[in-house]
Amino acid sequence: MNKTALLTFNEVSFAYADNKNVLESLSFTIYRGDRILMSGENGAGKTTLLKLLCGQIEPTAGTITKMSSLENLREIAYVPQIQQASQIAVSVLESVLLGLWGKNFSFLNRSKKKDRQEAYRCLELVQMESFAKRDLRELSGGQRQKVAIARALIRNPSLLLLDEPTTYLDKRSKSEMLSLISSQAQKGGWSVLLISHDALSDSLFNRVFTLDNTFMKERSL
Amino acid sequence: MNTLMEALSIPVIANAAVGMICAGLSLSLVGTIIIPLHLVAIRFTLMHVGLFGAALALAFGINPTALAYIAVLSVSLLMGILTKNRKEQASSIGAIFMTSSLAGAFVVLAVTNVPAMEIFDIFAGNILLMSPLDVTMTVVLGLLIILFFITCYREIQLILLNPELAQVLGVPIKPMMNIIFIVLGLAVATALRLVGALLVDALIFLPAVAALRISRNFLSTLILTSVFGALTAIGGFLMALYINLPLGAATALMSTVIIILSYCGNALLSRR
Repeated sequence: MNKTALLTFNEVSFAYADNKNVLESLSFTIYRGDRILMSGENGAGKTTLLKLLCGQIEPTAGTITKMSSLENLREIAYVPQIQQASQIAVSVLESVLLGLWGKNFSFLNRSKKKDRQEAYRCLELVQMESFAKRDLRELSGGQRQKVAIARALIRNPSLLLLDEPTTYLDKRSKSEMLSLISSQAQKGGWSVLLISHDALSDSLFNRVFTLDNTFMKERSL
Repeated sequence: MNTLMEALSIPVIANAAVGMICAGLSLSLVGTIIIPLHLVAIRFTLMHVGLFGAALALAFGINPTALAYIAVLSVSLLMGILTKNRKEQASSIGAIFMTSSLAGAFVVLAVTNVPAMEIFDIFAGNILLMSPLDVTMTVVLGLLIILFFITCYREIQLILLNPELAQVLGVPIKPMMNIIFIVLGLAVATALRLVGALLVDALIFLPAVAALRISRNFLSTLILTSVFGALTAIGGFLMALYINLPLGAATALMSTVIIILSYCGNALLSRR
């Protein structure tokens, strides 16, 4: 069966201001429906790779070719690494709803009732519906992480990028969240790239990579 | 009541009342942005830039308020452009502007022999010197700030919640940050004129601090900030009128009372 390439890294390198390459000559392709686990030590360049994928930074050498649908950010959902405590009062439901910005609403096109219903449904998926009206500032790190996952799920993206999404979760929640992400991805035909330095079960992924700045190795499953 | 009506029949005091209420309702909203974005120190920078602008104006015999506004706005715009990272770089760049503006003001004072007190009068603020044009400008600015919060409600919320996520979702962070710096500059320059530099916080910062303590979502934060800002302005104005206190000090006292009440309110809400 022919696989559709969603995104291709071609000899991509990246260096921050000190000119030392954090990533060097990386080449790989993400296909539609891939569920990829990317592991590696701290400082291996995993987060930098994600920032390149979602367009926050540009490669210093090489090219990233995206399918046209990925060119605008509507089709990408992202769970950032650190779910720091919110500095503003924002309800859990509102915070999930914000995941639809740029997709269902933006400056002159505001959110609708069905968007709120969808936000509630996503909170149910991560078992946080009873917290819908609570202030995000009152939640624990693990609870904020579940809300961040719900905020990504609501986007129904072509590509879901997750940076250490299980750091604050206990063993049971970790396994539940990974199963949820995997099942939602399969149902929606999404591609997933999950970055983690934790030892996670391979069984939920169809490709597993190890990254170490200058090389990336795909482990056969 | 009669005293109040009599006072308000005097155009200068009526102007002051309208200016204060409008500033309380709208300028305070800026506080809800500067706290989460760690721009608290930037308001100091802008005050000193205003001082430099006023010193230059007095040296050249032009309107000090106008030049203070121009200086504050120009630096706000520059800071928006220069600030790529919203936390560290804003404060570093702010420190450079603050020190150089202060140095510039002292150099102007030394070279031109402008009496220092004339410049520091601006820092003390005097709402009774507000002309109808000043009042109109405050009302227009207030409406613009409220309009900014209404039209960019979700975008502001996203930037304050997580700027990195906002960027990935496609929110135009750089233009939004430029607008935020300009709004902050305008608010500081206007508050300077009303209550003076030392008490700018009473109008811009403290109502937002109080609202953030007791609100549970973003909309209630904005509404409570605006209400607390208006209460601060009205309370300060009435205290100044009835107890014959300096307006700036009365406004600051009122905002302190609101802060104390908000801490009590938060303690009560947490127990429920």
